[in-house]
Amino acid sequence: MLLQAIAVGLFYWIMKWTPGYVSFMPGSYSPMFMSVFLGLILGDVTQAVIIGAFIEAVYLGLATDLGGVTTVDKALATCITVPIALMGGIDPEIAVTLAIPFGLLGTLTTNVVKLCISFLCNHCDKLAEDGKATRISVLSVAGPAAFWFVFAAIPVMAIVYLGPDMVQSVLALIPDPLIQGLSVAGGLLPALGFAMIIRIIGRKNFLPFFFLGFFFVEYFGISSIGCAIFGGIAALVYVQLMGGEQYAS
Amino acid sequence: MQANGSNRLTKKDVLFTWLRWHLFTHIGTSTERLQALGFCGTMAPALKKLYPNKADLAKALKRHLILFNTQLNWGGIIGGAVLAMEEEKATGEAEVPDEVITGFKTGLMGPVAGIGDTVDWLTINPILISMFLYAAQGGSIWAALAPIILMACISTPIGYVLFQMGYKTGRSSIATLLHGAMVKKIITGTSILGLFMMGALSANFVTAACPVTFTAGGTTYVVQDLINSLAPGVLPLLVVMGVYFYLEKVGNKYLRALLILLVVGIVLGALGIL
Repeated sequence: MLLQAIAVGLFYWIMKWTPGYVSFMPGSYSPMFMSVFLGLILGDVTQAVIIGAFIEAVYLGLATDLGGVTTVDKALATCITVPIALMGGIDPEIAVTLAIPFGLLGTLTTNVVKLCISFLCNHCDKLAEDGKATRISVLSVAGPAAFWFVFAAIPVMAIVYLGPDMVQSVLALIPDPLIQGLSVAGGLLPALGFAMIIRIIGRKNFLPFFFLGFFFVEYFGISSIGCAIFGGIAALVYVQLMGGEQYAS
Repeated sequence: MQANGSNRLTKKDVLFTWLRWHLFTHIGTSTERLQALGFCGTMAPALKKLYPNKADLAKALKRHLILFNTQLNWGGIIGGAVLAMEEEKATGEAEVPDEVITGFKTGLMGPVAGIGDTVDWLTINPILISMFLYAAQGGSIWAALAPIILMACISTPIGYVLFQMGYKTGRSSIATLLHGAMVKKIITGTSILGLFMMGALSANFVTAACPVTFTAGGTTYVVQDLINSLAPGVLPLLVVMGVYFYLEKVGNKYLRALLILLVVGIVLGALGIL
């Protein structure tokens, strides 16, 4: 029982860490794929796949993680629901109701890990200053692995071992305003990344083009390919109008 | 630029950079700079070989620790081309200004992500899943595994070919493109396109809304609705500009800015102001 809980936690860890972009990540978004391995750990593959396919159907057509925004954590939903349903002999239809809250809870831990990686980026700024290329290369892979182990693997081991009721009572201890505040902060933080890029491009007189792109999306909701077309035209027109002796070398 | 006896990249270096790109770049995704850490970590070993001089290496590493985000499979074309640009720059065969590399990355990452997300995540993946879902509901192990295995078999070669294509076209076109008067035009053009795309992306990524309500003359107003009727997105834009001018003032104090944003977000969020 304890060993199985540990194995499920380690499996969830690998799923969240996800090396191997399109060769592997779709697996961490597919409950029926993950349920095969959970079934192997827990000793009933067929039943696990049936439950996994039910969860898959709930999320069908819901693409996660598009544009770096995690909307639902299918891996957590699966790694909690399948073991608990198998061990408790719960019907797939009822087990699915467990999946939804855990799928949402997983987005919280995902955001906490991404926040930790933000601090790692700051540490790497200093390493870059000293030209420590190898350290950055290793940290970019091992750092997130460590964060995921702490925030993903260990909680899942505990949940599978103790059962979901324990989780509910622990979660009730976290004050709602804190969760609300964390999600607001998550929305603000990318502003820093964009402010850094504006500074690095370093053309203050081109700032109106930043506003142009921003309000194009705010007012018209144009796709990124559409934006590239308009932005490209704006760039071409500007270069042509400013042509002549300014560019003579 | 500096022809400082820099090494050229071998076929093996390019292959291993693709492998790291494919396996690891997505892992280092952060709230603040998205795939920046992964991008830098992927390129770092190649950069180390290209820039024996420590000061140049430090500059190159910092160049790639800035915000980056794309669909990495199709984005291989960006990774490959950037690798080629760094090689041309390091060997001094073409004078590649920093602005061109940054502008190229920032200009292309959005549209490439648009194509890649649509093809890989919104087309191939859901089609494969729905093809096998019915059989999996009957308990078939192979049906449960098949969509993911097939997805890998279809998409991985696409990613590899695009990365190699980016590298080859990068090498052949940069030297001819970047000469004399052309360089300035390209810097100007890529800077404008880059800023435009960053504006568009930040509209999607930065979120801030004020849910506060107040009552005046018997009607209840939501502050955010009033802001929206004025101009949508004013709050997120103010946040980006606020951070920008803060950094302009204090210099590159990223950690401090990160902590301030975090505390402000948590406090205002907890109070229900944002």
